Amino acid sequence: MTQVKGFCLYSKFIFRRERITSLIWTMSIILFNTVVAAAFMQLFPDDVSMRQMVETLSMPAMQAIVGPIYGPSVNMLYASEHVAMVFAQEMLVFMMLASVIMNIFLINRHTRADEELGRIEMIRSLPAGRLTVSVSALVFAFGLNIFISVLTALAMLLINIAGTTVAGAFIYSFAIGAVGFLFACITLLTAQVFQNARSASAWAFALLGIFYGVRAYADMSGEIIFNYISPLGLGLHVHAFHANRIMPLIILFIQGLILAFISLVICAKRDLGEGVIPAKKGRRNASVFLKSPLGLAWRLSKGSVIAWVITMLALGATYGAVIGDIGGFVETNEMFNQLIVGGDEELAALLEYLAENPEAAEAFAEEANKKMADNFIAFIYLITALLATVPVITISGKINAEEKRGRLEGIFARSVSRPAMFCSYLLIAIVGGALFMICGALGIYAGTASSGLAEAGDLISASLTYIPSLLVMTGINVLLIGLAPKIKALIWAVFAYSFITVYFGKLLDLPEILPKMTPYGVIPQYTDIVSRNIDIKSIIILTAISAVLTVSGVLAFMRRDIKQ
Amino acid sequence: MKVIEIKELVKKFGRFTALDGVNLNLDGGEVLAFMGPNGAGKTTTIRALLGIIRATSGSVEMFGEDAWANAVKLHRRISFVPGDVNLWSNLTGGEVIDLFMAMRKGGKPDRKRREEYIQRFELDPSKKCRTYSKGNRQKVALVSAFASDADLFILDEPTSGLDPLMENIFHDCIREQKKDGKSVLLSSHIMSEVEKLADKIIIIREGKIVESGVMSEILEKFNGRTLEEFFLSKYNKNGGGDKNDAG
Repeated sequence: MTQVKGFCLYSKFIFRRERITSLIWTMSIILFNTVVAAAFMQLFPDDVSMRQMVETLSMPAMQAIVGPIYGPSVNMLYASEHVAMVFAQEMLVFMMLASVIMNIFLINRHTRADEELGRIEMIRSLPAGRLTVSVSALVFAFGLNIFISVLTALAMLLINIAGTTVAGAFIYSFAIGAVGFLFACITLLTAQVFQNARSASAWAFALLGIFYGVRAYADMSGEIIFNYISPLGLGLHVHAFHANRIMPLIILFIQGLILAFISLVICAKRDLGEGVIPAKKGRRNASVFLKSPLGLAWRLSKGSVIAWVITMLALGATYGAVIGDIGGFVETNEMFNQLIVGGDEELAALLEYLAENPEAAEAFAEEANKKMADNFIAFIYLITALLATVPVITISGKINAEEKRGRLEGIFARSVSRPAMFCSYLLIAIVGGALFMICGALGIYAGTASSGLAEAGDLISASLTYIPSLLVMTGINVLLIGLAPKIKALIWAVFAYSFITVYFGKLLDLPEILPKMTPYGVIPQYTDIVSRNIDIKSIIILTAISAVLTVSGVLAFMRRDIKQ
Repeated sequence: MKVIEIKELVKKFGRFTALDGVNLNLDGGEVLAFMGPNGAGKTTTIRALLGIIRATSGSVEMFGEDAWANAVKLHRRISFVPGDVNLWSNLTGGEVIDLFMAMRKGGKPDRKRREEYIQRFELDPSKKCRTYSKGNRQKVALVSAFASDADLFILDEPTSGLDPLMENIFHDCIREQKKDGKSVLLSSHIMSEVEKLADKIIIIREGKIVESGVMSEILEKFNGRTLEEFFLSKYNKNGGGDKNDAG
């Protein structure tokens, strides 16, 4: 018992530290789940629309993303009985991912990150057991997962979408908690194995990626055996609101306990500050490249650039893979219909004509499909551009982050000019932004390679037309950093406005002028490029605006005080 | 009974030998200055004393008990202040002090003592730790150490970041503890501090003890040379002093 001496006190302390962070996570997870569930009620006014949705979900490409389809055969589905089941089939995996991310951060924050900062050394110098911190953190994670599961279940019961059962609601919600807790245990183990917090969380996330891939393969190929290897696959096999199996949850819990036990044994034996795998020795000397402002900026941004390149490739490929099935989506999904056909009168007319004259299908179906695919790709580009903006903003704003941590003083105390340092970050942000867009395009190309719905040239040029948008966002960011670093967060408000109006504009039937007021709304779209109808004017204007913003921002930065 | 007794302590990290047969003793009511160049093994020795790293060989005892096996029990009687205090940024200094004190006692902390030391070190306990300077973070650790009733203080460069006024207050605190019969292991680089406070000195270099002895005897023997010159001769690889000089 001395190993966990001080458990109660330290648990209270974790509670105190977590009261905001964990509360936000908990509320977000529960709210998100509940809001989507409520929306599902409206989604299926009749049996037909639901059956079409399930047919879409049954495609291998979709199963790879969301997980296995189970339950009665499609024509035995009724909107009055099965909405909850379809909801679980589409949502459970995403809820699990959210829960897993929360758990990885939570455990890492309290174990290896605290250890790295020397906080655990202070705790251990008090009469606290070797395992007090780890056990308290794990017990907190366990309690939090139960709490989230129970609340999620109660919320499901409360909104009571068609087909909700008590067993189903609890099995569904506890699958989220069980997978989350398993990853809490996995992170506890990586925190013992690796000597620093970054590696510990990076490996936990890598395992998450691998397990997602394994279950995607299993669900796509139907080789169920692989699902038992992956905790995500196992969690999805509860078949919530249908079979309501409890066995996968028990297995997940036992796996968690085994991992936790191994971690605690290691933790009790090892030296504080050490890992099972010792840290690699770093370079003795800086490379020639690192010794310049640009080299430093690159070194500090390298990790995020690489991560985003991979993300964009994967995202493009995922979207690309489903483009071939676009016709099905448009037919079955009101939301997709509005996104793809909305505003395109020519296409709407064509689809209507096809619906009325089935005999013409042969001749025009291909054309309609191509048009729908083009519209869809244009939409994907908007998402890609918006997503690529996130790293562009963080990298171009890195100089401000460095300033806040007091590391910029040390740079400017040497013979480095302010614009040289600032422009180094900007160069990486902008080249990176172009790279992210191209990676998105390559991903889409790879995804559509089999269906041949898009040409590489068009895809690449469409991705590059968004560079001026990224430049303008960078410009606004630079101006804020130079002129008013205190309200620098305003850039995210601009981003949020762009995201909402561009992403939801068509869905919510917002006035067309709203998205046009963002840097993303005025750029020639993929459809314009395919039809060679490119308005070069907007590109030039945006680039000019961005140049003015950037130059004045850098000039302002040269004049102002460097904050401590 | 010896408060600290380390015998032939060896600590290896992989192939690297951090401590190579360290012997160190501290008797009750003494202040022992633990000195040595950076990377010599001071902090490693202290971590072994705290039972957070395990000895490769040799024995580490406090109050006659093994420091690793009985860590939790022993830590009721000690207070530790690290040289680089890292606190939880969204907690206030007062909250951290309470946590540390509560974890020691397992019951109600001594509010009077806590207030007394907060006053003495002129700490504002209502500020979030992220806003504290290095010196103020150090004060948080010092207040929680002195406010708890410990028999042994293990201090690893405790005054780093403190201003000279606060250093003086710290010196007063140490003297008071000594008067009460408490023992102190003080790792420090500050010659004047060591000269003022220490009864005995022990010097470590490259994981080996190269010198240990009573302060007054050392000063006597090196009559005419300053303490600093003495240390430099011990720290320096080439000019390393004869082990029998003062031992």
